Amino acid sequence: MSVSYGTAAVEQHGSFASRTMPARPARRFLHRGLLRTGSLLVFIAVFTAFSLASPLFLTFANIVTVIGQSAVVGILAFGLTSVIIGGGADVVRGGIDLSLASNLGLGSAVYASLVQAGYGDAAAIAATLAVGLSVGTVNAISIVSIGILPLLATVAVMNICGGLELVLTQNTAISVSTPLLDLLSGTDRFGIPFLAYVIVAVAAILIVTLQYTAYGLRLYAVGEHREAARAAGLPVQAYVVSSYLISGLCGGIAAILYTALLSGSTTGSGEMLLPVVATALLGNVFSGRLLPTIGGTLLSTLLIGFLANGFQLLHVSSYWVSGIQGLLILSVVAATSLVRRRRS
Amino acid sequence: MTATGESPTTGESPTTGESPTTGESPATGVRLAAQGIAKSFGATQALGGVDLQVRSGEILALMGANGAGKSTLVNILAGVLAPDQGRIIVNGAAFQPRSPRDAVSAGIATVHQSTDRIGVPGLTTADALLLDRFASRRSALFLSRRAVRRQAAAIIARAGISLPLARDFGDLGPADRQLVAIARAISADASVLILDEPTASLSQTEAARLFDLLTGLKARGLAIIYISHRLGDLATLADRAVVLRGGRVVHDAARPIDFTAAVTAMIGRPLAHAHAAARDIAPEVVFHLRQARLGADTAPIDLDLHAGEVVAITGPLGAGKSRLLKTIFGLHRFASGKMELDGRRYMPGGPAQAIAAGVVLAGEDRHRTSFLPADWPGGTIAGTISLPYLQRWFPHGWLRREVEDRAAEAGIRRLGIRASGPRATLDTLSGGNQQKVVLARWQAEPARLLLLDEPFQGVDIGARADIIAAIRDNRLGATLIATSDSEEALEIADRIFTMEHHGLRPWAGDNLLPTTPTARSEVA
Amino acid sequence: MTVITSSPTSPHQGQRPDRRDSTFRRYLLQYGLLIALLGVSAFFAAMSPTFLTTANFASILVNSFALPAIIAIAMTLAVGSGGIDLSVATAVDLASLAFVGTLAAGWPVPGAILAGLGAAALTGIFNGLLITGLNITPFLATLGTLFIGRSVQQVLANGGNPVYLSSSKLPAAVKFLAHGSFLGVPLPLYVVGFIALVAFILLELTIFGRGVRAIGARPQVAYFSGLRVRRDIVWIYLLSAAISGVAGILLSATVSAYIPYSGNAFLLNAIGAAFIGTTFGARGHANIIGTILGVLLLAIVANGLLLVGWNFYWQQVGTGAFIFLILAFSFASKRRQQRA
Repeated sequence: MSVSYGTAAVEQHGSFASRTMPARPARRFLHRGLLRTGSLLVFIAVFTAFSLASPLFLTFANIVTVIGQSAVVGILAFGLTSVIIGGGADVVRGGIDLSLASNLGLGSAVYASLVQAGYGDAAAIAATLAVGLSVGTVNAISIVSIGILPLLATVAVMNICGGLELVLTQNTAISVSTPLLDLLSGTDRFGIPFLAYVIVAVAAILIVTLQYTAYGLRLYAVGEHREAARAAGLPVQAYVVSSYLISGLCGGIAAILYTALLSGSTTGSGEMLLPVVATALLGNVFSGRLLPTIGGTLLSTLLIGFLANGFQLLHVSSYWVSGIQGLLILSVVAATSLVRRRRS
Repeated sequence: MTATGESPTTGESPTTGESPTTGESPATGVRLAAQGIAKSFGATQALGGVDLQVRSGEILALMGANGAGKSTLVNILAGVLAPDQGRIIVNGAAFQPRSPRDAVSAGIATVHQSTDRIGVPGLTTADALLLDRFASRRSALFLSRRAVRRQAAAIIARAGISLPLARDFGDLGPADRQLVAIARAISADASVLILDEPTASLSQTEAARLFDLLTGLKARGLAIIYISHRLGDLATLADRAVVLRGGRVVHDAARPIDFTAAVTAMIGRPLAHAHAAARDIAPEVVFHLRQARLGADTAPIDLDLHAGEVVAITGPLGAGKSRLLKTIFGLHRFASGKMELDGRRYMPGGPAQAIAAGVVLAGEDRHRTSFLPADWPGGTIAGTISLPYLQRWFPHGWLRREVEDRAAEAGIRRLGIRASGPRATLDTLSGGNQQKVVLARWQAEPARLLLLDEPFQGVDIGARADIIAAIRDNRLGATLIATSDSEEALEIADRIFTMEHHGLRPWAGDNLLPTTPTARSEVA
Repeated sequence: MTVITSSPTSPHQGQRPDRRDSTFRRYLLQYGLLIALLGVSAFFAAMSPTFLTTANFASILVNSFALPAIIAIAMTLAVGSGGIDLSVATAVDLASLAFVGTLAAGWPVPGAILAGLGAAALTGIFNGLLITGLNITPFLATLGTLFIGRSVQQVLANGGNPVYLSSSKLPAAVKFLAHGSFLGVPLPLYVVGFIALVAFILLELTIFGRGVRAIGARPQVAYFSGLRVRRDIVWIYLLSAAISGVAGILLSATVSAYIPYSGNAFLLNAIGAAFIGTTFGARGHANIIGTILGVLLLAIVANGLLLVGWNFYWQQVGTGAFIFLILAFSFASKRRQQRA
């Protein structure tokens, strides 16, 4: 086993300014707490604006529907968040998983194909989750053992998954219907979609795992400052591997939900990738220390979900949604980087 | 060269006779015995056969100039590097760590100079205290905040220190970070504690607190290796002193330690000759700093630099020396005050303007501030020298390698750089030759003010004399050097100042031996 | 003492070929990409009689190589400067939209081309300002631009509807640009060649290129050495977008239409080719020749798989697996060298 150089300098590929120029104090009012509360205020403001503008918005049915519809993107974003936690806030150099959308597509195709071939829900679920974990494993191996950069490795895996999905589906939609799928896509007697339960449950499990266990603490340490973690004796690679496994598993879970939502598998799941990335990155701003957290990602998922929903109800052209998402990312990132530089 | 006193250890080898039983620490046993440690990095031999021993309840001072091999030795003992040759025995067992964690398990805890890796900003101090404990034992699956704080409180109680447990680790100052590392070491039952330049970023009171702590730990049987430049510290603490030079042990003395002899051994010649010869300086003021403040409430700085003059600024880490140089270079702004260059107002908006005006900076870590990676275009001697002047030398935009090479050859000749040619990549050069390349770059075009930040870091003794001569030979402009090493300042400068808490004052011979009259001479 | 650095845009930075390696092994690694290219070609030539024909090669070059190559070159510039440009897709689309839109409105061809390039350039300047002014990392900045660009297209093109140019409205010049040839070589290939040449000269032979490389390698060093980092970064992203704009114009000329979001299809291949290209040569950073070889390799693999009768969908898997293998080989061998 090789021994690392104690004084090796590992360059951080951070924002342009953080790489070149020494920190300059930003304006006094922009600090961390303000950014977080500011974002929460934005959330509340959006809510208020929409409820005032449309009577349909602030209804129980509407809200729970949106939560349910956010399940797929949300769970994928959770997976991505885990990878980012373990990889460090700098997404390009550290951890990222761009294969999530294809993972979902492939899993969904597997589920639908199996059901169509006559297998039951149990087998299909097992297979889909297995696919998700396998994708995660392949990612982990390529990044940790072989040493390919996460950005490139997951892009390559994404291509492969996309191809496999096409092979399975021959680029057509596969419609299936099973008791479980119908159940998942439906609502319970309170009118709450089961998908809403699922996303909340998954979020809860992940929040507990990542914020309240030793494992989670160590994963954060590995992501935040890899050298310190290594110096403290943490098996850094194992943690990175685990984060990709979580991500793969989330892909599998989301695939099942997706299949339920659409009553089968369809093409074009790859489109989800960018919104998922945006959601996960936006989530940083909702946490106390501007760290990636599951809770923050949940909030940003809901924010975007409600934004889109609000636009729909107000008959605002959906053309603007993508652009607003982009502006949101940019503003949030600019603001967080300003705050970060002020701290350093 | 050995001084009088205890001879370097061969008498007591822990492998002969009875080995200490596990769990029982002999009151005055040898904790660590290193024999014949050698380590090379490519062509450079950092350590050439070092023997070292530390006993329980003893503070050993490890001394040596820059490039003498101290850091390498520390990294080997800390488990970061593996030696090429030699044996190390710790507590009677062979010591062959494959990682820093193994080293800690074997009983050697190291507090490095850089407090970066001690903990993780974003997590609390309590988390940082427990960071390695999570890694080594099976801790509970669920960890409440309260459990973390309880365990952390136990750790600092055992060490006898107090720390703000709930605060973000990123908000801790270097003194407290150090304490975190020391507390962790004690809770890990370390037998040997290595401290690398621990007071470099501490104030007087913090340093005193550290000394009390170390004395207490010593009384409890800990063996301590203390690496420092600061003779004042060593005079207070050390029971024994070992001096490294050129990768070998050249001096080993016990209390009462004759530090003059130690320093002589360290730099290879008697201290008295280490001063720069006094010389006439032209009265022409090249650079003028008036009432400049680095921060809103720091002391104002006035400074005049003359053509051909070399001025050094010493002071502990964090005092502001580097910051001052960077501000003059345009990387920061003064809170108030003004600068003049050759009588005209000088206010650079950034390095580009500074360089255009003739003010140049060789930054602290040359790999981070002056060098491109060896694989990239520009990772050669020629590329390094030409980088700031590309627009100047090639106004039409076409890069002409011959022009670069010619300039590089001139620099190689002038500074005596040992390299295969102008296209040699930087990683083939020794530290000293690398620093010469940096100097060659800034001498390629006439500069009014040359700013050097820690120019002797990682420079082997061989190149030092050349660099010192090259710096002092510069008659065209002024040179301002920031160095944390007072001895180096003495060797090179016409005038010396000290920086403390972002304020400047004439140097009064701090931190050299209080007994040596030559050291105390006012060089302000 | 070796300082080990690695940035996403030069994955193998700082690792010199070990002198103890045999010369053969060293050349194998440095020129591995070229060897792979020749090897794959030989393989498919053996497997299919139609592979090694002029018609087939012409088809590969014009259909699967020309446009991806232009965009990959644009990406190479961004990657070489230490960043990445995800919004090349946006530049392609907006240039395409502007070009077709102005042509449909009756503008003369040169004007339409300028409009297209202008639209692309605006995207580039936007990126540059985000990165240097707001200090957003290139990945996120160009990601944001990608999102915004999508909205812009939706708004300007009525929900993302294609805009078709009827053949009557299509000037002869445009037809010639896309389908004509000069001295037997299709015009688009001249465009590729020209752009590749200019980009190569820029990166390798000018001080601008040296400065950009320095920024890509160690931005702090570049800044401390007095390079005007901000200005150069803006230029690079401007160029990257403008070059992608050329691809957009060519694309529209070829299909006589503006198809929304068509740029997205090129994005991943461009990234892949640019990074595969880094494996070429003694150094491990982005370079034009490597990128071109990478695009060529991907095109040949796709074509070869088609010719040997692989199902179209299996081709995707095959190409993906192939990229993966190249990356794995490249990174694993450099890592082993690093450990030696």
